[in-house]
Amino acid sequence: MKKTERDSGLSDFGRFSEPALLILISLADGPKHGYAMIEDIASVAGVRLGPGTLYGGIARLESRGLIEALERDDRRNPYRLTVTGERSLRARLASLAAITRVGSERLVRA
Amino acid sequence: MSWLLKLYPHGWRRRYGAELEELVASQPRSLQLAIDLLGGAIDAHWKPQAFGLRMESATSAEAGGTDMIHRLKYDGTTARMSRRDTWLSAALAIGGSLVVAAILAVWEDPVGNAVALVMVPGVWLLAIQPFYLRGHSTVAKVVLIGGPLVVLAAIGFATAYVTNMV
Repeated sequence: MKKTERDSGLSDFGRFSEPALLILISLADGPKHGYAMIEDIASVAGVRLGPGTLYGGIARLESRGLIEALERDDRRNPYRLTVTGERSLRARLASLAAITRVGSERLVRA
Repeated sequence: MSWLLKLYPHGWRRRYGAELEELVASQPRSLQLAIDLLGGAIDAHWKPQAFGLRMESATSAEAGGTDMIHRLKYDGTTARMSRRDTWLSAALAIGGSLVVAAILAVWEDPVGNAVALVMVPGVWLLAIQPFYLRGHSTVAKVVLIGGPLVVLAAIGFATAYVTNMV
């Protein structure tokens, strides 16, 4: 897929692009560790990510500098959005909103 | 269920192992969880570049093939491929292909054909082992190579059995 100006950096995450987006959304209201992210994503999106999928997404996002680990709390590491991650999330949500708007308009005309 | 975490690469486990283990312990055991972890482990081995793997230079990436693999680094742990690994990998690929060809030529019935055909991907699984799974535990090697081989063999023999029935 051709990258656009609004590319959020998630386009090459393959099957992890959706979990990665959900992780970014989950962290948008503050730092969370893995278990809290799973619960939050389940309540927000109705999707329960498996631990393997969650950490596949976390590792990718961290390696791109979109999220960062905070000081370890017991054996759990909380993560938070970086400035780049916040920018990336805004770009992705704007892109999705534009697609949603066009889709809705077309449905109205249909 | 935490034993499945041993299938992840060493560098990956060093970084995320403890917290993932904690998370897995909080989940009810299920087949879905096992598949999820297995998929995560395969992904971590298959696409290590997604987790911070870096190339030493763009030139090495452009060089492709074994040179690129030679220069891969993961989390400070080098995954260097020695000349011996290169020869071993080539010998497994070429030797295995010759064995497959010989089986196809000599064993002329559906079972022989099935064995030879499932051996093709099997040979390549074995051939990538010297560099791709280098430094990983024996358990990881046995599961990641033996697992697909068992599935392939089962498919091959089932196909041969059905063919004989027909």
